[in-house]
Amino acid sequence: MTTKAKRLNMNQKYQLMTRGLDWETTYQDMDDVFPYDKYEGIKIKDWDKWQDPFRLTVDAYWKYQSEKERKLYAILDSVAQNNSQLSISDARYMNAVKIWMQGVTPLEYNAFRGFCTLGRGFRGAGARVACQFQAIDEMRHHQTQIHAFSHYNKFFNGMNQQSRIRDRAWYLSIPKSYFEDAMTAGPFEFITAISFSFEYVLTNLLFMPFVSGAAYNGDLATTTFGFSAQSDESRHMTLGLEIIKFMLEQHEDNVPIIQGWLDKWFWRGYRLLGLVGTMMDYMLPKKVMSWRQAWEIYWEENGVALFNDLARYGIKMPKHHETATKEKNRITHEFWSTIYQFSHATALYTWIPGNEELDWLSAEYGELFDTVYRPRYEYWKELDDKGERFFQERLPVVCNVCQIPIFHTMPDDPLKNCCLVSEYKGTKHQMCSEGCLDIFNNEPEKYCQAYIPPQQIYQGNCGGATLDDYRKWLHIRDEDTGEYYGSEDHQMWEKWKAQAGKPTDEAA
Amino acid sequence: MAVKFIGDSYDFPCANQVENYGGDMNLYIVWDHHLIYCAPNAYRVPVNIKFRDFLEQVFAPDYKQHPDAEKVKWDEGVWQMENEAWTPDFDKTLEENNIAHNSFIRVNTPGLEGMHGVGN
Repeated sequence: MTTKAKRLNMNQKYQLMTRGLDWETTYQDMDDVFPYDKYEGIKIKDWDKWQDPFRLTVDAYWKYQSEKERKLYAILDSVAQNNSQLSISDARYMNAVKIWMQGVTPLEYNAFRGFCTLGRGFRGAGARVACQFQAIDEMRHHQTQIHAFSHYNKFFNGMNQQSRIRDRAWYLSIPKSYFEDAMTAGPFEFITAISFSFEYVLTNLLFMPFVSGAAYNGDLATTTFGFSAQSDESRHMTLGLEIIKFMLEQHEDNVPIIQGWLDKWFWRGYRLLGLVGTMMDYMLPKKVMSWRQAWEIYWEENGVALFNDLARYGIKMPKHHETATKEKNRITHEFWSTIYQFSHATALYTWIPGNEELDWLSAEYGELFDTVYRPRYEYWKELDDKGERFFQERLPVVCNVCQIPIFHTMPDDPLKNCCLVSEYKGTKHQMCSEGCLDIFNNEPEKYCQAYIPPQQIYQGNCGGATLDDYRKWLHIRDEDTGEYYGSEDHQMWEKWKAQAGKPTDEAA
Repeated sequence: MAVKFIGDSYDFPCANQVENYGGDMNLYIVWDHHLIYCAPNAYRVPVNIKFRDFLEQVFAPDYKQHPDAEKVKWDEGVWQMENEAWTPDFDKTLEENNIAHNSFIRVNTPGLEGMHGVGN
């Protein structure tokens, strides 16, 4: 008589999958099988010390995820059937969705690619398995976001060229270059950049405002995918912290390497998040919190506490964090001013905030806003009222590292652009800050290859020499761009409001 | 610190080298305290254009929506190149002024500190 084998419990399954299924190769040298996990200089003495706090197995993962998928898609069906686009706060809000879809959704796909590489690249099986699950999560986020947004694409402009403009548009080269910088580094730098600096240190500044902003502004589709992704995100955050501690505990020689990466990726992440802060402060008709307030809570309190915890490993606060904090009262206004004047070369609409919004910004940002940015907006409003809506026709100088137009001002002088220069191989390169200059100078061989949109336009590689030629080359249509008031999105929204018997902008 | 890499070498040309400009070059220039124009401007320019012609015919028109644009006297500006003091000769060409590919020029015009006196 045969006896049924005892069912394994979750922990046993996990142990077998991540330890028992792995082996040391004998016909081939292990270094040939895993050629990428040593060249960065990170020393791992014992991969078995890697602990995945979730101990996920394939069947458990499948079960959790499929349950979430069923719920998500039931709600997305309902969003479509009930014309939920009518429930958003205002059509201006949709530009926050556009910027997410154009800029962040492609990052999810790149994260999928990056974690696939890591899922093959590390010689420790536990780390490989965790990265493989995360790769699937990232692909799922990419897909669920596109599915959630596809309903809005039926009504609003600016969403129909996502894959083309992701590769071409100047303002999307900011997130694109961030991720490609990580993907072209080694596996340990990638995981430090993405799992720790991005997912752990900065994710609250990205995810929280976007998903809460969606909820505040009546966007059910985005809120739902946000919540559906939330449990994955918390798993990713935990992975990020575990991998950092694992690397730090494995060898003291790892500490300075990791410190260098934390310095770099803190600054790159901070620069990227300026775009998110701008969305929070300007694109959400109903505000969640200001960038300044989010920075104080999520960086000055939580982020600093995290770095204090890491001090016992010899890790110091990331370089230039003081500058980031100095900029908290200005970065989003400088960024909005930039998008406002270049919005004829984006698939976004921009506008001057209304009086109530300006009052909110004054209350959040105080004196600097009242003396500098508010009068600036009032001047642009005057021009607009005269029929001379302000657009910049000349291409800007763009930072060779973060790829943002150099609108940034001096750390101690918010009235003067900061533009720093470094020469490499006889060619001068411009950077927006000491943070980006350090990154360039540490690896000039890498950043001298950067594809910087204005440089490429002037070299003749982007359809022509003017912003208008360039926009056509991006396949962004006239009606996708420029001023919000009077745009097709605005006109449609006004029509819907009139049909519903709500007061329109003209009447208000 | 230098980039770490696999293989024998890691050597690529700069994407923005002057060779890619067919005899022209890039010039970067900012008029300080006129931040309604958010960033320094980038130009593809011939190397033999006179600096004054560049300023008057190419650069100044880009600030046409600024009230200071019609009051500016470039000769009275305080000039910098690569953030260090520099004196241009307005009637010489860019090349003769030692302006090279990707040079970054800054001009400050005392008395014209932007609208409201706050750099706008």
